[in-house]
Amino acid sequence: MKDTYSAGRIENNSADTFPMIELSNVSKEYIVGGSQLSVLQKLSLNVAPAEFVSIIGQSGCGKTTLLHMIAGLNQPTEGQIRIRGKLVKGPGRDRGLVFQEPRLFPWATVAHNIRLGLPDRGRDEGRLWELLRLVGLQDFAQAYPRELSGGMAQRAALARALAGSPEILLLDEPLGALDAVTRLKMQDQLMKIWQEGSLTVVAVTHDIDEAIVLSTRIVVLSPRPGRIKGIIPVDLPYPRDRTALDFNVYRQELLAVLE
Amino acid sequence: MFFDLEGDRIGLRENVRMRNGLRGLAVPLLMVLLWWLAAESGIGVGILPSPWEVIITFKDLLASGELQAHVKTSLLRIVQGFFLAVGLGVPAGILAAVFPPFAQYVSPILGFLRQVPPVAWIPVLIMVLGIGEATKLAVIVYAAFFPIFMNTILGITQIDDHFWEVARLLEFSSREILWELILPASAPSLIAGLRLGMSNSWRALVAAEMLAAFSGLGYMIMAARSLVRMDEMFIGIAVIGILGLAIDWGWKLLEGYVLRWQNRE
Ligand SMILES: Nc1ncnc2c1ncn2[C@@H]1O[C@H](COP(=O)(O)OP(=O)(O)OP(=O)(O)O)[C@@H](O)[C@H]1O
Ligand SMILES: [Mg+2]
Repeated sequence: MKDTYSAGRIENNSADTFPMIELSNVSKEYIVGGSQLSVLQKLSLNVAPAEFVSIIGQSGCGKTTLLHMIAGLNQPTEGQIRIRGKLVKGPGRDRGLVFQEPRLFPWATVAHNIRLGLPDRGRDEGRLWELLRLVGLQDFAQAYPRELSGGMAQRAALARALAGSPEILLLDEPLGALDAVTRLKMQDQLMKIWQEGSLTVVAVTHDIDEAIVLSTRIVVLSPRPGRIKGIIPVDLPYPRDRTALDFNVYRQELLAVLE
Repeated sequence: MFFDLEGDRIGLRENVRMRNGLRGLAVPLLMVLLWWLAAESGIGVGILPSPWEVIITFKDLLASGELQAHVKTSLLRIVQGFFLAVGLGVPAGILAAVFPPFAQYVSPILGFLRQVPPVAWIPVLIMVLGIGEATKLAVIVYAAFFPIFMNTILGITQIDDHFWEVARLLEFSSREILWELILPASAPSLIAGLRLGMSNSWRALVAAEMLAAFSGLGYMIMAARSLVRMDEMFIGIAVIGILGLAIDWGWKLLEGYVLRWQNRE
């Protein structure tokens, strides 16, 4: 008993000494039209377990590329990406990704799309309905993606990403397509999911306020080649008040780094 | 109704569709009327039967069960040959789309064969296989294979890379890649290929039955010719056309069901 207990402790401790996500000197180059395009250059960043990191940067500075590399869809040209100390070689259940577009299969119903994200492919119907309720799509389980609004499709995509019960949730502008009110609601929803699930989140966003409301840290990327221009830790208690005076301080700080 | 030039268009109202359908019936009715007038006025006596004569022959053929037997034989051949062609064409298409080397090996010879109409092979097949069922089957398979094969390849190569990424992300098994991605994503093209393949093989079969058979609708027409029975020939042609239309109509229904996820209306 004692032995297994201490062995467990040691394993836990050693796991804790690794960051959840570790980017070391990550560079990515593409060949575009015959010439080399350096998209990301020597990016290093550690993300601790249960952090919520937002990534902000101009269009084309490599945010999606970075997220896809963490997801394992894409390999860095140089440098390494590790999850809990293990080198990323491909996609895995430990990471869920919501693409910049919903990317639902148009030939499958909402329920079926989410089912395909479940490790057991939905043999456990209860879990499927839990997810549908979580994103408020229980009445649209049998709808086809073309019958959804942009925001509903994005919510279905979120449910599909959460279906694998990942430790890390990677979000590529998940709220980009939403109107202001729905956006605020979804931010609250995301906060809930993050706080309840002990998730580590890396989210790309274009919205300064959204980044401040959600994140423990904000990473600002510079364009061409993408480098870290600044990292801003946000030390405000949750839930955050957009109208608080402190909030404005962060706004100014972020704008200063962005310029 | 017959070619559905307009009825296929998206968003047509039901009554408009009906009106267009009735318009489509006008020409055949006019033709029958002209035919009837011609027969009445004695044009082509001895060669051109009147509509009434044809109807009576039709009844006789039905009563004796002769017509049904020919129809059954032809349909059976089509079904057998078509399933064989699907069994060959779809897997071959998937292989060619997924493994480019396979496509490189087979595409020149298939490109050549595509140019040779099925009918051109009938004499060769008779020499090799005789005039048994094998010859007819080979003609059907040959006629149906190319549209099925080509459209399978087309459907798969047109799948958006984004969906392949989703399949990788969700760690699809090979089976899931086939059933959840490849087949449904290429279904529009695949079904178009199946539909075209079947109408091709229907035509080729009639030709094969004329040259190398003792049963089937094609044979019925040839036999009628040697007996100088124009009325039976007319019936044979009408039945071939109507069955072909009915089969195509069935395909449309299937298409509408399988592709119900697509944007319509
Ligand atoms: N598969 C690819 N092949 C070639 N170049 C690519 C590829 N993917 C991305 N790029 C290039 O990498 C750069 C960064 O693209 P990326 O999609 O990561 O930008 P982004 O920061 O997500 O932009 P946005 O905010 O507009 O989504 C772009 O200049 C793009 O042209
Ligand atoms: Mg992007």
